[in-house]
Amino acid sequence: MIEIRTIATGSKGNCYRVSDGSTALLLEAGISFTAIHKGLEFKTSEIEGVLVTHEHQDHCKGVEGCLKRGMTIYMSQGTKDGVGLDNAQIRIIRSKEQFRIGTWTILPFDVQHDVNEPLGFLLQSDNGDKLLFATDTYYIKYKFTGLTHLMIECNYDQQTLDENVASGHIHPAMKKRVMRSHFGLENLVEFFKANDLTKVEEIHLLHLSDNNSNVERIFKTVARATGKLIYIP
Amino acid sequence: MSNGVTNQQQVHVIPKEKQNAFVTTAAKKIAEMQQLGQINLPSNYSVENALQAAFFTLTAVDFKNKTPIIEQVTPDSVAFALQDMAIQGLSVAKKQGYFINYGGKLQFQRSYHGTQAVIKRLIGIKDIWANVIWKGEEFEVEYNERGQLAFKLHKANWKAATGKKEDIEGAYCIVEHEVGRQFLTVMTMDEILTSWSQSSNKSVQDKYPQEMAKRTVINRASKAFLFTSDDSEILLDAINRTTENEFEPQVKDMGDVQEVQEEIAQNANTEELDITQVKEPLTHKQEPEIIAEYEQQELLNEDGPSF
Repeated sequence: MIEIRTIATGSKGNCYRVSDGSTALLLEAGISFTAIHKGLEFKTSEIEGVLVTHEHQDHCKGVEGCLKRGMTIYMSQGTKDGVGLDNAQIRIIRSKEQFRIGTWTILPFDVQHDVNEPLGFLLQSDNGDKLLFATDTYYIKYKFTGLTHLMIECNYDQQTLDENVASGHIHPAMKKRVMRSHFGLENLVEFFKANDLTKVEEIHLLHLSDNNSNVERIFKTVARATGKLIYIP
Repeated sequence: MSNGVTNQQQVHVIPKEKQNAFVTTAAKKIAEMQQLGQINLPSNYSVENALQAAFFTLTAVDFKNKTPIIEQVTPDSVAFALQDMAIQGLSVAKKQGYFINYGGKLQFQRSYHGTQAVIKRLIGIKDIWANVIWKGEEFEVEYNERGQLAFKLHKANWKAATGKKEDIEGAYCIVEHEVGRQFLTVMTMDEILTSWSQSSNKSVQDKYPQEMAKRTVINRASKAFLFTSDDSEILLDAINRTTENEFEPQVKDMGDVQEVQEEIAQNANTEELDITQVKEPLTHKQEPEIIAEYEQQELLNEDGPSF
């Protein structure tokens, strides 16, 4: 059984704790270390590894604090260069090269975002559960089998985005930027269709935009498309 | 300006009705963004003052242009341009940018003073400056131990600064981090001229080539910074947008949204990806020690003599 706890989500910062009952991991450290510490109820020593997808502040703000605390951080070379930190506790990982942390086997894969070498993660616990973590990508190249848990970005929905442009809330240039860096509801539905969801127990929709998303519309659409338990933290 | 004095006391007061509606709307929008924590303006920046100054510029009529710029452009574009300026905490009164009419759409274009101000506000950046290299001056660069282009020497000859375009060999910009690390951007005059060939500012470039060369190299240097920065802040979007505005003949056509959709349709969800199974999935909780033993066992089995 995988336990997922959202400590922070959205463009102000992302941080999630996932555990299979044996090994606890942190996905992203995009808030201050103090906030991470609090979110983990001060049990930072339980965390066996921190996986970071890319160098944007809302995903790695707390990395330095985690390093000071002696935590091990996993990221791509490109992300490490982007973050600009040099520390022996940073482990470089590569797309499609799997590795182990405790009871987890983790397979990083390349995603589509406007930074150098961003990653998504497929995590399989020794207890058989399989979790997909993908955020800050405007689509996913890959298809997966046997997923039991999904933590996936749903940043905007086209209707809200278009309405915002029409009403002048969003600059037209921003629309393209959003569409070229984030996962939208319509593309997410295509993703659900292309993947085998029979074993999926939970879907966590992450990183909803404050302005460009209509939570109700997103919830209903995903529910209709998947028929699964949906969490919008 | 008497407005400056009044506005300082009434930070929270909505500007008076008789002031232009654009100014009121833009000020309201900025205040909203500030409240939501979406933007962080410098403490000494007064949105109202900056918008007021912008309004004067936009409505100004001189002998050459009989109609003020605000009447030549669409109201929507005025709102966006004002927002772009205010989000970046810049002011036309301080010559940190200009309003330009691009085919009926108003755009805010940052000046290099504006770019310097914005870059300095990014966390970790101490200073940014640019120099022109004149003909006959000695200028040397080298690759540092990190393999990055680095400044070595510039022996300036003040007599070489003729102010003529033909006498400029190039320009460079240095961005310095708080920790002392420097990033160098160098452009030859050829590169600068190529960039200028896109622009409609010909007369300014001929008149003040030195200042314009600095502006161009600062913009080039900043692009590298701004585009790699955090995308979470609206400030950076505004900055990137006004950087994009640099020498764009007209407002960017957003038609390529379709391109994005096609790209997604073509590439998404195509390749199968899965974890290679190394071990049988375990059904019960494993202590780290046991896993270590388990792995050792495996190793022994593989390496041991086969019977």
